[in-house]
Amino acid sequence: MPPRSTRKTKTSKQVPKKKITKKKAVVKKKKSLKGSPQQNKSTSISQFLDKISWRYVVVVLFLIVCGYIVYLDLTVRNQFDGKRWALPAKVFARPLELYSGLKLSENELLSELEMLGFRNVAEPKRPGSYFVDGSEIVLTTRPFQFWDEKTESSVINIKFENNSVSKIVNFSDDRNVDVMRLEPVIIGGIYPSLKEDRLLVKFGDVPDLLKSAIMLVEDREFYNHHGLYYKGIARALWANLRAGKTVQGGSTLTQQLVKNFFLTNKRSLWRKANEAIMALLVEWHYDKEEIFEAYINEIYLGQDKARAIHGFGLASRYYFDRDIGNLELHQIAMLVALVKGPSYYNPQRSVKRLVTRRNLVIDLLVTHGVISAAEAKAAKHKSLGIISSKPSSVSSHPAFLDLVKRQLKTFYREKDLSSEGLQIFTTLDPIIQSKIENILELKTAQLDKQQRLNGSLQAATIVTNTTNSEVLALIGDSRPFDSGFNRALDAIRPIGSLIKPAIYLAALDKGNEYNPLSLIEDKDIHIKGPNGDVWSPQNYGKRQHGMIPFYTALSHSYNLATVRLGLNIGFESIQETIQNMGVQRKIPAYPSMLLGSVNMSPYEVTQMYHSLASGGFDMPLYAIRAVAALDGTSLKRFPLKVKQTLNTDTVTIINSILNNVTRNGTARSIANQFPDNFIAAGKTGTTDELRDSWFAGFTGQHLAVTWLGTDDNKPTGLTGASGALKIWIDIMKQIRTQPIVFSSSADVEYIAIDPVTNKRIDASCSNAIFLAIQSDALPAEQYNCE
Amino acid sequence: MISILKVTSIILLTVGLSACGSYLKTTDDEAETKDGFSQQIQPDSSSSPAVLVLIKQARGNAINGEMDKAISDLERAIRIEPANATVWHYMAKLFLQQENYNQAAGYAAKSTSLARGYKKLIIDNWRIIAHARYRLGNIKGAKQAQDTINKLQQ
Repeated sequence: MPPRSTRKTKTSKQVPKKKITKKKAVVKKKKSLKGSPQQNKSTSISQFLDKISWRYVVVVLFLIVCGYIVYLDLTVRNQFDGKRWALPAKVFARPLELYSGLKLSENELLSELEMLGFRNVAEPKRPGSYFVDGSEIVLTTRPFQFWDEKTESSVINIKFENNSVSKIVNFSDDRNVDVMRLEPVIIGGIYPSLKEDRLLVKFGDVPDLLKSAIMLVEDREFYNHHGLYYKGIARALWANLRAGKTVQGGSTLTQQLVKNFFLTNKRSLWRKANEAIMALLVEWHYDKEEIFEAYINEIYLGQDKARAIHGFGLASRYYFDRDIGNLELHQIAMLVALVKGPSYYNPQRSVKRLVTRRNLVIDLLVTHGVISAAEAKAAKHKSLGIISSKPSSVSSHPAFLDLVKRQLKTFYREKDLSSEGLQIFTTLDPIIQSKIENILELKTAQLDKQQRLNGSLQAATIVTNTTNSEVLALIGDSRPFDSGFNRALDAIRPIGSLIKPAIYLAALDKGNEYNPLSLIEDKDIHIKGPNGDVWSPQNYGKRQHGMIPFYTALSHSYNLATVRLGLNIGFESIQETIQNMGVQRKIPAYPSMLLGSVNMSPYEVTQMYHSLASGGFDMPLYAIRAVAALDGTSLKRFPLKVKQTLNTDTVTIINSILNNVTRNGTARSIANQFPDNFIAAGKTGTTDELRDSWFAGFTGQHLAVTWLGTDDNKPTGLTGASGALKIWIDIMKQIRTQPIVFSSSADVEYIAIDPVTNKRIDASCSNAIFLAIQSDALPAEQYNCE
Repeated sequence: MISILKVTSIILLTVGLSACGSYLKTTDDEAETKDGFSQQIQPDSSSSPAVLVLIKQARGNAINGEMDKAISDLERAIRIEPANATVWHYMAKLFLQQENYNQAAGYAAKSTSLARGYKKLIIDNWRIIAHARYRLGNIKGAKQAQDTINKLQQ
C-alpha cells in the first residue's frame, strides 16, 4: 500500500519535479563556488545516491513539494489576510462651503458641480444630480465622509441673487440651511508604479442581480466546487484540443482571482498548475463570500488614461456615477459583459460590440429565470448610458499636486501614500485654479508672441488666502497641465524690487527715525566693493529725484533712495526683517542685495508677502488641511500656524504705501482697471536686463504672486509692470475678492494727504492720497484741496 | 489532491507564521478638556448665521473633548468671516486648552489685531498671551502682557 501511494504522489507532481532538479543545480553551483573540485563532488553524490534507497528520494521529493505548497499557502494567506490591495491616496480639493451671503455666481456653482461629475437632469432625485430653475439650483448631494464629519445625501435648493447665494433650503425638512459643505472635487491620486485604482465594496452591498449575473457568465458552479471545476476543465480541454488552440477557458472565479492576484497573464502549464493549487488553498481557507468579495474588488474593468479601473465598486462609479447598490439591470449586464475583456469591449472602441455582449448577458439571465422576458426586453432597449463627464482621478493640476506630495513626504512614507488609501484634503480652490490656468496659458502666449520669444517665455503663479495662508492655486508652467519643472517651487530667481518693502519696513521699525513723509535722498551713489570694483546703481529711467518722501521712494521704486536708506539702517536689521517675514533662506549682506540680487522661488516670495498681507503674522503656507484613513477617521490635521513676528502698525504703514503703488506708483494700471472700491497693495519687480518680471500683490482676501522669465535666463523685454502685473490684473478680475480695509489704531492713523505739499487734507479732495502714518508724526493740516 | 491538502495542513500547523502589515502611525493626541472658550466673550452679534452655527458646533465638539473637530469648525468660521476677531479669540482659547501655547498666543494676537477697539476682547486676548508666555517660560514677556492688561483696565 505505501509504495502505491508514493507512486501516485510522484506522478501527480510531475511539474514540481522540474523545479527540484533546478534546485539541485543551484546547490551544485553553490558548492562549486565554495571551492570543492567538481569531479570529487559528483563522485560523492553518486556514492551517496547509491547508498540511499529510492524510497528516501521519494520522501524528500514529497517534502519539497509540501514545502512548496506551504510557500504558496503563505502567499495566498498573506494577500487575503493582510491588506489585499494597494489603494492609492486620493487627493481632494477644498470642499465648497455654501452659506447665504456667499459671493458665488450660479455659473461658478455649476462649474463646481461639473467638476464633481453632477449631471443636469429634469428630476434631480439621485445623488449627484441637479436641475437649474432660473436663479435657483436644485441639487441632490452625495453622502461624503469628511475628516471631521459624515454628511448624508440631501436635496438642496440654492437661490442666487446678485451673483451671491441668497438662500439655501433643505427640501427634506423644508428648513433653511445656515452652512453646508459640498463634497470636494478629486484632484488626483498618489499612485504606485502600477496605477490601479479601486473603490472597495462589501459582499453585502453587492446587489443579488449582479452576483447572479457574474456567476451565470463566469462560473455557474461557484457554490459547488472547491476551487476547480473539473467538468469545466475537461470540457474546455476537449474544445481546445479539437480546435488546436485555446478557445475556451474552464477557469472558476477562484482561479480567475488567483490569477489576478498572484500570477502573470502568461499561458503556461506551470502557471496553470500553480493557479490550481492556489485556488484549492484559497477555497480551503476562506468561505465563498470572502472569495466572491475579493473577486468583485479585484477584477479589471477598464482604463481611465493612466489609471486602471479595478472592481465593480469603482467601475459603477466610473461608468455610471452610481453606487454599486443603485445599478440598474442594463448597467449590471454591461459591467458583467466587460469582464471578458475590458479593452476589447471598451465602449470607446466599439459601442456596438459591447451592446451585443451586454444583451447576451441579459439573455442568459432570462434563460436561467433570473429576470423576466419583459425586463430583459426593456433593458436591451436601453443605451449603455455611460456618463460623459467622468470624475477623474488623474490630476490636471500637476504643480499643486507636487506641492501636496512634498508637504506629505514630511509625514508619510512614499509606500504608505500609494497603498493605504489615505484621503488627503487639500486647500486647492478648483474654481480659482482653473480660471488662472486659462489666464496664465493665454496671457503668457500673448506676451511671448509680443516679445518674440519663440515660446520660451515661462510663468509661475501662486494664489493664497491672506486670512489663513492656504494655497488656493498654484501653477508652475506656462502650459499648466505639463508636469515637468515646477517653477512655482523650484525656479530660484533674483527678486529685484520685490525686496524693497522689507527695507522700508526695517527702516520704520528702527526707532522713530522714519515715517512715510520723512524725506530721503534719491541721488547717485558709488560703492566700492572689497575687490576694488565700484558699484553704481541707477534708477529705472536713469533719473535722480533729489529729496523725496519715504513713501514716494517706495511707491515709485526708486533705486538710489532705497540703496541710501538701506545702507543707513544696515544689512543686519534688513536681514532680520526678511527673516521675520517668513523667509528661511539666508539673505546675503552686500549692497546689491538692496536692489534684490537675492534669489527666491515664487513660493518663497509668496511666503514673504504673506506676512504683509496678513498684517504682520508669519503663517507658513500650507496646502493640506487634513489626512484621513480609508474609513474616514482623521489621522492628521494641519491647523493654521499663527505667530506675530512683525509690528502690526508698521506693517499697516507699509501696506498703505504699497496701496499707493497700485494707485499712483509703478503698478498704477491697477487703478485704471478696477473700480475705486478695489483696494489692493503690491509691488513690481524687475531684474537686470529685464530677465525676470515679477508682481506680488494682495487684496484683503487674496495674495497672488506672478513670475515671468525664461528657463535659460534670457532677457524677456518685460518689466514687472508690463509683464507679471498684467497677468496679476487678469487673475484678480476673475477672483471674487474683498478689499483691504485700512483703519486707524491707537498708534497709527489712516489719513488723506496732499501729494504735492505732503500736508493733511480732507479725504473728499480729489487729489488726496491715503497713507497710514504714526500718530506722533502726523503732518500739519491744510484747509483747501489745492 | 485532497491528501496533499491534508499533509500540507499538518505541516502548516507546525509552521506558525503570521503576516505582518505596516501600519500608519497617527499623531493625534487629544487632551481631555471641557468647553471654556465661549464663556466670557459672547459671539459677535454681527456674525452671520453660518458663523454662529459653526461656533455652536465647535462648542459642542469641545465639550465632548473633540478638540480637533472644534478647531476644524472654527477654521471654517474664519474662512467665512476672516475679520471676526471673536472667532480668532475662541481659537486661541481652544489652543490654550490643548496646552499649545505658541498657537494660543499667536491667535490671541491675531484677534487683537482685528478687535477694532473692543476692549474686553483685547484684554482677554492679553490674558491668554500672558498665560501662554508664562507657560512657555517667558516670565518677562508674561509680565509685559500683564502690564498691558493693567494699562487697558485703567
